[in-house]
Amino acid sequence: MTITDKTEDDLLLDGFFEAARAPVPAPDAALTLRVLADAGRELARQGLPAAAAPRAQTGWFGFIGGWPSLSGLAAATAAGVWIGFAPPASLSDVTSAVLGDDLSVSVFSMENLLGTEG
Amino acid sequence: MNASADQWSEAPDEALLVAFGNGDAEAARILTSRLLPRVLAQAQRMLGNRAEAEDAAQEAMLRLWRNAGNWRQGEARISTWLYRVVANLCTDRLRSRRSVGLDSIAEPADPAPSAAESMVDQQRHRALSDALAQLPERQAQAVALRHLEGLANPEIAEIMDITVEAVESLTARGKRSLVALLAGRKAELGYDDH
Repeated sequence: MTITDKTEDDLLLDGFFEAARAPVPAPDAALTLRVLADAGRELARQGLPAAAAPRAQTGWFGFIGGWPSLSGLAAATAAGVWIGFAPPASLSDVTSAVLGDDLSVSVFSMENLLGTEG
Repeated sequence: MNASADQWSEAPDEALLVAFGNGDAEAARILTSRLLPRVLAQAQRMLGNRAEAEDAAQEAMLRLWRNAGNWRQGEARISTWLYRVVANLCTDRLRSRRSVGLDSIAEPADPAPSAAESMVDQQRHRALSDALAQLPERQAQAVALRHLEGLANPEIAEIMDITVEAVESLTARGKRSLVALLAGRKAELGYDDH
């Protein structure tokens, strides 16, 4: 079908389909950690502790303690992201007073998390 | 990147899933980086809502992890299987919108919309998603796979486990229903010029 063959109905739907096909942002760290935490829980549920797998203890993953640590890390990361977006006034006052107004701490970048560095 | 990651980087998804089923956690990390973006995008396009899409994507990946122990290489492609799972999860979620009705269409529904979407596009996306919710589930899935994912009819037939002719029929009926559902809202969704 060429563009000139399209009916008014086709053109109407094309507009909706095009809107829905807008680029979707990549998964953020919080979602990625939720998914990895699920994977870890599933291994544990099946009696396959990932700690037994040598590969699981390499790099950043082993450094943070393997799968058991992921649930807590996911929650902590989500909380950290939220605090970063909306710091309570009291927290903001304290950090500003002690550390100054500009403070940014990054423990894990997405590159580290996804192992895409280097 | 460490040696084991290099070892797995070229492996097919199916081999990685079998490795995960045998307890290899590195395989899960690589599969997540490969598959989650596409899974999330499919859910977002169908649902028009980021939070719902993230929940559906997480659930789809969880089902993948749970199926790892039973996965046999050569039996199915993970990409095909995931398209089916995500489509099913999304139509389940869309079904819950039916009681809301079409009156809510075109309201800004996503508290965290994609920066790439204009306000009009957000409204049209949400309107389309709500209209898909009114369709029979198989019609909604066929339309979404064809026109939102851009898949060819034979691939959709494989995903939905039906014939190509059935895909064509579902898609045609689904589009007719969508036109009927959306035509009355052209003006409020920026179609004055048509």
